[in-house]
Amino acid sequence: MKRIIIFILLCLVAFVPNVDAEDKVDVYLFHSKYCTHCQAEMEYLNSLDNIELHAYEVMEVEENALLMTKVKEALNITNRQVPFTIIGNTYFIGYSSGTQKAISHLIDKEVEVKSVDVISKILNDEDVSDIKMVEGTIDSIEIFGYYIDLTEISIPLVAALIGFIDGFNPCAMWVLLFLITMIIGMKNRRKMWTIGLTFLITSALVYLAIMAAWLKVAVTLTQVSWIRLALALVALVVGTINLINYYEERKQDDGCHVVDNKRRKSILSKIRDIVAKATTDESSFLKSELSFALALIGVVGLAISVNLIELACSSGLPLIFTQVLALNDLTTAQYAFYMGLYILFFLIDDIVVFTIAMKTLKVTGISTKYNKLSHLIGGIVMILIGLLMVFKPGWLMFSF
Amino acid sequence: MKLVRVSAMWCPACLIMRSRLDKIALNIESVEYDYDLDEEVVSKYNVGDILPVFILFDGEKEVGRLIGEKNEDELKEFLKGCIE
Repeated sequence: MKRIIIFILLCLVAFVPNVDAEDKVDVYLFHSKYCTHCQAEMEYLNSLDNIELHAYEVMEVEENALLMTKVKEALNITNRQVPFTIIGNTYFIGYSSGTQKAISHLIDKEVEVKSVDVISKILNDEDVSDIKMVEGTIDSIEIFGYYIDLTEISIPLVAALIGFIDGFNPCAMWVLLFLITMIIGMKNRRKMWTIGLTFLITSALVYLAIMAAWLKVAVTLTQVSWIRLALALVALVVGTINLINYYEERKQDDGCHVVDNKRRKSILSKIRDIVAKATTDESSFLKSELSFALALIGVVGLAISVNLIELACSSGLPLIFTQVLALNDLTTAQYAFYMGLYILFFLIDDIVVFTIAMKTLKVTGISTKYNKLSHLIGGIVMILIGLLMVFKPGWLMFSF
Repeated sequence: MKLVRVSAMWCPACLIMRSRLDKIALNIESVEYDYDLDEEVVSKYNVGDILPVFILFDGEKEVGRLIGEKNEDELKEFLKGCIE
């Protein structure tokens, strides 16, 4: 288990974003010498060497106060508060640790791609009515005194986290264990590996196809606010159900819940058929390989049917993840990469169990104690995403 | 005394409990039935919907039942008196 955790942490470290600072960014600050927040911001901005600070004191210098009024009027900002910071076409009113993080992040972005310098246009009496101003969002949240920079929580991290939690649902594992137990008695390792990998790859492709379909819908409809709200509601309801399940199950015995008899028997019968075909000892090589090919077709069919049915078990996590992807303006290749990453982490426990079984010829299981925990964490994640979709959808538009 | 175990090949908790039991030297007879393959025998033991189930018999009389995944200490406590 430790090795798995170390592997996952190494994977996550690889996704930490990296930005180089090269050019100076123009930062305009309207401040008051009597305002402590302004002094704190001045101190911070003066410590940066990748910006060109244009500071305007508005309490003592009337000319600067008039300029601030002119700027705010031109930008349709009614709030007269200071500090008032403008970087490109983004402005911030007030200053806190959260604002500092957001300003720092925006400067990093401006170094790479500069947006329109609105203030220089106003200073030159140019028309700025066509320029869309954006109020800077605070990109960090305070939890128990620690500031967590939301911009550092990139899509890969979210993909890995949600995929990993999703993978711990018990439905995803039991058919694989069924299959491994039945094929482990085969003496031909090539066939064992091929059958297992066919099952895992088909499962991944089915999941990818379903997520791609949801993503297509989500991308098309993401601008429709009521759709986003409806999905947020789904996330909140499913998240709450997960938490209720956790609450009800927390004192129950850990173990495997017996699933529907009819379905289990049908799957057992399909797996037996696959193993029978794969182990057919035909006199000719051609007939034997043909029989094995039929077994593989059976494996593909099994993986498709099982994953379609078991998708309901995933408690909407892939649906919500595709909505998070849709909120970000990505290329098709990026969408495919992040869905692939989600699926890799979704299948990681299956891959570990399968690989150990093939190497040691012993079937191992992952403790069912984690199932309850996955309900708790999954529930919290769903509710958190649901709330963000309603109140702060911008926070789900990650930068990386 | 006799230990009857009901498990299933699709059940990870059964695999975990099997490996925990393997580490314990039992001084009693132990038999394992598969929930799917030995359906007829298993139906006699009134097994619920959580696996695995360990049942201790003294002759024909059931004297203890352990349901689900337990840690090694809980398993040893259940099998107290049946360990070498």
